[in-house]
Amino acid sequence: MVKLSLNMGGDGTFIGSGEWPDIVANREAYREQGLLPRYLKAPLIGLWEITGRCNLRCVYCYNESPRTPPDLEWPIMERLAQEFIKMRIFSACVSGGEPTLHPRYIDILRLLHEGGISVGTITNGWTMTPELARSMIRYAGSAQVSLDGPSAEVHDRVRGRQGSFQRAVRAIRLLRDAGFKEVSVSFAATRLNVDSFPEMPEFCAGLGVASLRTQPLAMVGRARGETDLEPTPEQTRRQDEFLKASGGKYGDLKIEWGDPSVHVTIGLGLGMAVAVRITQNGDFGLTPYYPIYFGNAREAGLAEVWEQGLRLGWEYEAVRTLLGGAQKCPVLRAQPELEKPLHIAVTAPRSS
Amino acid sequence: MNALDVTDKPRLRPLRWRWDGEEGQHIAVAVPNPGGIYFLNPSAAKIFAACDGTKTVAELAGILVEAYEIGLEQAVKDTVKVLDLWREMDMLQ
Repeated sequence: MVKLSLNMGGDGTFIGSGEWPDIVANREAYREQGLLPRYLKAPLIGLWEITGRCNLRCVYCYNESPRTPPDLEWPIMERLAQEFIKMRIFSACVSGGEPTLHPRYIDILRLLHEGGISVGTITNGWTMTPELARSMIRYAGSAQVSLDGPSAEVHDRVRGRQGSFQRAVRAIRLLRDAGFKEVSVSFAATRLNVDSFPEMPEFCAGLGVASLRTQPLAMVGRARGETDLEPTPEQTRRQDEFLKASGGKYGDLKIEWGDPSVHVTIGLGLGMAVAVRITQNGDFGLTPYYPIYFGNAREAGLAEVWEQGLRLGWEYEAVRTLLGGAQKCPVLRAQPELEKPLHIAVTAPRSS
Repeated sequence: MNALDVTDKPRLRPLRWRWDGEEGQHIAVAVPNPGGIYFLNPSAAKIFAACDGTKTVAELAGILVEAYEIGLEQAVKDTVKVLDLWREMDMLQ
């Protein structure tokens, strides 16, 4: 019995299981024992960025929201949700942009939930109201609020809008009041805020947060090339030390550290995809961090794209060449070749 | 926790799962404890799919005997081992 999943961080990142290095290192032995297939019939996880709209402008945003390409039309979104259900995808993470800005946000949560999918969602909290929180809890099992500091001074600077700290904290309270047991907080460690991280656990515990997640900054998207955003080695060392010493000190609060490069290492190591990313304009991708796409929902269904190539997307030569350097790299970086999206053709041209 | 007897009829909890892998012989299942999605190899998948509370442990082991031409004793041992694991993972009622 092999644990195949990666726990999904709220920002669409993955937190690796300790079993993975062994599975990757002994992939053929696992396959010979029948423990590991060559590919999956469907993704285990769907990371769905339902809108490019965003009311903040975070300094490190991995997908550079707000984005201008139009969101998918509702009938296509509805069809995608049905495909998630039909393909028996286990869990979906509904994000953006800021997903609550999408007029059909709750409808998406509802469709997925009613189809038996475990639904999580991510918000910056700006639009949260008691009514919205109550609607969300009907269909989402977990909610993550991005909180990049324990004070307005720190958080607002990182998130690019004054007042965003107060809104995020209020959102956490409203989600808790609505009954969410699994409210988590994500903290993206940048040079601007990482020194305040030691104040975060107590602050989050006081808000009733279930888990606090942090990870090294991925130097992609808006952070690409912004070396001034990257924590210094000394800052990283101090955060690491703090994390190592913090276990069990904050009651029920779980403190999780994720390495955004793990999913790249695993993907390249196994070849098969376990997750699909869907961007707001319908591109199907392997990873939230790199703009490598295998078809678009406006042209083909997820099942079709999965079967025709996405399920083994990590084995494509172009992917291996471009992302090989990201393996076991402490900080994900954008290769110059990936400054523009790479669209890999997997579907045969359709006859008119 | 009592040891499983060959006359017990284990039944799975309602779990989210699907047949998976290139041949459709594996099972991917969302496990409540410790959480996460696990993959069952084809032999475990056969037991899983038959674990509906109507078959005894001995009958479940018989599925392995038939599929893999192994002795009943070994099959019972393997079946009990996997069922014990599933009990620990809160997969059984």
